[in-house]
Amino acid sequence: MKSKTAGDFLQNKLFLIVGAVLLLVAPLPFGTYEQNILIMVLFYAYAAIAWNLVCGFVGVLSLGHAVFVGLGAYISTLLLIHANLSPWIGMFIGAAITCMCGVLVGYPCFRLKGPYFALTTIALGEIVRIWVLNNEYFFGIDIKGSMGLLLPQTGFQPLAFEFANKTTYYYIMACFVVIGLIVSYRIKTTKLGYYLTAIKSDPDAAESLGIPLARYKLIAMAISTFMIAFAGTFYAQYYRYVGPDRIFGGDLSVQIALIALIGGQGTVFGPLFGAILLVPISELLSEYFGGKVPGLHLFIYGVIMMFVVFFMPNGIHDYVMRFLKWLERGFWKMLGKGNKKPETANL
Amino acid sequence: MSAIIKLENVSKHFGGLKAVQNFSGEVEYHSIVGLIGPNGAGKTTLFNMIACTFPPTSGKIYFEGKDITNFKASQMAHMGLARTFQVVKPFGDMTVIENIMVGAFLKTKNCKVAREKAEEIYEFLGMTCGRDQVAHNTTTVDRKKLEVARALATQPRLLLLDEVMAGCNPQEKLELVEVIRKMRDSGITIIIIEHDIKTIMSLCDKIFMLHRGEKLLEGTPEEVANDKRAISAYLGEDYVNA
Repeated sequence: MKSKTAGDFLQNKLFLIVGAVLLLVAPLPFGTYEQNILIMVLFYAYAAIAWNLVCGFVGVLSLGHAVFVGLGAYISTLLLIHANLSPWIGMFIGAAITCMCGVLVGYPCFRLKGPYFALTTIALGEIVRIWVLNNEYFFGIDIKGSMGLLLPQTGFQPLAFEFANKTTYYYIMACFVVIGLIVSYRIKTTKLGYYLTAIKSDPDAAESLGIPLARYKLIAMAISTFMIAFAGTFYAQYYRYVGPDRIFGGDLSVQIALIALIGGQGTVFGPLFGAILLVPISELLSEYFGGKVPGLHLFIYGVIMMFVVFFMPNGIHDYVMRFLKWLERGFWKMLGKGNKKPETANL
Repeated sequence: MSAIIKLENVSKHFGGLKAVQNFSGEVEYHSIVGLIGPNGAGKTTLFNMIACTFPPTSGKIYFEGKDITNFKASQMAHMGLARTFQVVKPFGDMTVIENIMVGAFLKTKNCKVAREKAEEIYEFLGMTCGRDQVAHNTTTVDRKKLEVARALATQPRLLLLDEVMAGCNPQEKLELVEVIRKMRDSGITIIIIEHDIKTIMSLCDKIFMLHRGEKLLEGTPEEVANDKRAISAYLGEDYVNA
């Protein structure tokens, strides 16, 4: 977190250090219920960061990214059950295979524009979900169809990615999120990021400047699907169960996309902000209203989302950044040092 | 001198519309060539074919002796051709300097090198809109210049300029003419589409005149200016003897 590039990014390490400290101490004062919420915040943040790498940067709307979460989860879990391979290794195999599938899917899909891309990815997600739901075997491998896979109990062995307390899971997911942010930042500030943003703004102009559109979109897709597969493995190891409805379902796809969209498409921290805002709201609303008036929590959640989309169509990222800058100015003023810092990079 | 670009009987039909018909011509190295003609004459269509935005219906195009008829637009940038668009296409969310950097990345992977190159071009074109201005906040004239800057950043040998001076005031036009001459002196061949005949006459070594998709005239500015067919194409038969 304290690398030089990260320092350049905020011009000032203050907020990165505060953020890192918050990330480290966040689970400590809480019980398991609140810790579970925190883990879900990070899980969705990481998935949205990975989604953002292709969809946010290139400007397409994928509503089928749960397929890649599911692939990662199924591959590492099947390797654990049938080959007794540690998920720590299995997740990399899962990521590699998912990445290949991502490129295969991306190749035809990127020829489609706007709503057609979104519709195709929805269809893809549904096809995979229904297929897994109805098939017991995949090339002779027992995938248990609609029952889903229960992960074997290994007796809390760290090597088998099974832990007794939630805090460990929290820190593992926190590492993923930090890696995801670093990858986003690295992409954003190199040739690849400039090219992807150019493709998003104007494909024709980008092409005339020598950017092969298809190749760069596929590179982004490969990185995105490689990363999101790890979220799948984590999900499986954390809940000790993977089932087609939960992990391939459209709900998860939409949730990931919404978090990134509301957080701020194409930004480094946007998906993280989105997850910090939306996940606790949804959890707490169902906690308070879930039992009293059925459906009320979803209604309120929807209304909040409408307000965000209506007043901040580009996501909350810019507003949060502005707020942080304001806080920073206040902080330095309080110390009597005045604001000598240059403007924060607009990322 | 040999030709940097050579067109052989190039035609483009959009359905029944014959946008360009049997166009042949050559452009020599280190020259400035003008492409003129009334609206709808097929000038931009010709540009799009040279830049490989779409292939011609028939005919062949050679770039530095190589057949590029069916190349892709992105390949042409690597070959050494850059273009601007008549309807400007800035990368709206990026800053001016970042826009130029995207062009500069063709020749380098390094962000710092690209930024330096972009700064250099910003100075060269005498741009005044502010390096860190977000592109969609700039004026039309600045966007026209940005188009040129971005194309120039790819370090091309052939530059296609599609009506870059439209919307500029006389002073700005003079500045751009100077810049275009400087570009030619640095070794870039330029093909330019322009409606302002005065500018084109003072700038070009050779002029092609298109009319209804066909090449009407080819020659030096003086030859074209004195040709009756040019007058009739622009103003109608009645003015030929006026």
